[in-house]
Amino acid sequence: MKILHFFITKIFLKRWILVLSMVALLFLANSLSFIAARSIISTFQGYQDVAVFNQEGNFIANLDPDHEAKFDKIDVKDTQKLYDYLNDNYTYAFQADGFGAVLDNEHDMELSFSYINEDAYRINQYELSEGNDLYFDYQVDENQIPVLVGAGLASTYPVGSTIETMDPVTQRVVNLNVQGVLEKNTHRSNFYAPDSKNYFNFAILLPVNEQFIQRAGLDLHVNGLMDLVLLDSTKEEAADLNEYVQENIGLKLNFFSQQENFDYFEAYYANSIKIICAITFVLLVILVGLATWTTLTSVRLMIKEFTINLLVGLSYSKLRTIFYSYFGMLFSVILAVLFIVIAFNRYGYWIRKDAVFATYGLFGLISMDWLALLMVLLINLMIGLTIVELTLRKIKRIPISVGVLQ
Amino acid sequence: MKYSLFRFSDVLEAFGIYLMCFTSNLLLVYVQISNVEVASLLEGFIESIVDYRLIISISLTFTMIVFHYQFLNRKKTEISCRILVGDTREGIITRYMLNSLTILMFSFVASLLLGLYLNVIGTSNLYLVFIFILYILVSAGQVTNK
Repeated sequence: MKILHFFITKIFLKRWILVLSMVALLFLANSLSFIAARSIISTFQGYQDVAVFNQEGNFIANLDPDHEAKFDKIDVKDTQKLYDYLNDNYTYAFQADGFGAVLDNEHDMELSFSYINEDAYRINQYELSEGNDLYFDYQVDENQIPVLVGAGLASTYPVGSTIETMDPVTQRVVNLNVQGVLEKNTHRSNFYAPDSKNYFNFAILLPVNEQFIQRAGLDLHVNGLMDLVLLDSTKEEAADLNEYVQENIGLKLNFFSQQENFDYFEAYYANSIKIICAITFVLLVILVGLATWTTLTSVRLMIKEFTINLLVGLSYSKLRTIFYSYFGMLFSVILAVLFIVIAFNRYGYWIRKDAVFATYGLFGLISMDWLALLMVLLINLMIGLTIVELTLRKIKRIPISVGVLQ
Repeated sequence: MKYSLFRFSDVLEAFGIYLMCFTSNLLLVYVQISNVEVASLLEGFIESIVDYRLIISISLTFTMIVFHYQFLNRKKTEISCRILVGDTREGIITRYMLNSLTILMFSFVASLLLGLYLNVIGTSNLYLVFIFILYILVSAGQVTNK
């Protein structure tokens, strides 16, 4: 410990410019690894979320990007007719998010309303921290509407409380009865962009039944169609629906089967992940090369100190331990800085009142951040191993007499 | 490069570092301005790197600080010897600055050519040139035998 203290204070930190440059390079390498790791983890998490819908016999709708959509020409009567047709002939999962609403809450966040039908709710299996599950057999005009609230609203709107507010899709005042509170960080991943997520911490989840859809406006109707999932259906039935949608409201939807979705994910996301890994690897090699060059340069300047210490009895194995400890400290400092940056980044969503991305977590970090940090730690071990072993090889190649003569 | 402190290997090393900094900055600018359609996941990843272009480029210039620092530390004995045989510190400093600026200029010209090839305005590297000139001026004060 004493020798380590001596080396750090009297040898390494004496040339602080070198240490600072090393920290900058390693910080870049760590940040890059973190960004790559988190992108990949987020995609896998999203893929798992989507997988509950992507089953055999299910068809997930997607607006055809090659077909021009004329939303301004869609009439609510036509969409209502379409939903009547859907209710009569199909079983489907319906969910639409992101309808903004202004409601008092202790964090002053702009809330969002999320609408979900019974099948989507059953498949998603959202976990509750308290209260009961939603029920869907209520009367829109007569009863209070049962809702679930996000974890961030639990203290303002506890289970059993009633919220009187203007519903953004029916444009009428409704009474919402809080049935339960969603677990922290309950989220929904986008079907065709699984790395992007909507968090429900400041959302109100409303059950949608046939009656509710009849009262709802065009926004909910059209939004719901974009992510519609046909359940226990066939390719022919999906094609029929596509034809019906195109004839009645002029939108062209693609209904992709499980195999088509697997192929899409394989072609689109697996390739992207491979490219991300390749870019990260190449950039890491360059950064580690630069860091190694900086270390070897430092050795060139510090060789006198190293050889004198080797001459008076310092063994190479002890020198190796000193180097590993030194790099261990550097990486610890860098990881701490990276941790602060990530935590601040997450906290930024709270400051900006960005309800869709505001999350809860240990020290502000959510599970995917911790996993990515763990991967960065493993990458650091490999970087440290490479640099230290290359440095020691360099030191060993310099004869002690030459070092002392310097 | 007569009477220069720079040996051929030092020139190559300095040229390589300058070029690496210029090239990485140019590539980041190129990625930022090019509208190549890529998958959203890849786009997000690239964006999260390109957004920090300034920080990345400036961090990479630190390698040039390391170069100047180690170079002048290694050359202390040579500077002493030169002063001993009649050279002046001012003369050594002037030659050091001129040599460093020449290497910088050559690598900047090389980066301009690369910029032309990539269709990126070479002036996006100008701020790096100013940073490097600043490093040269500061390091010139360190040309000493002590």
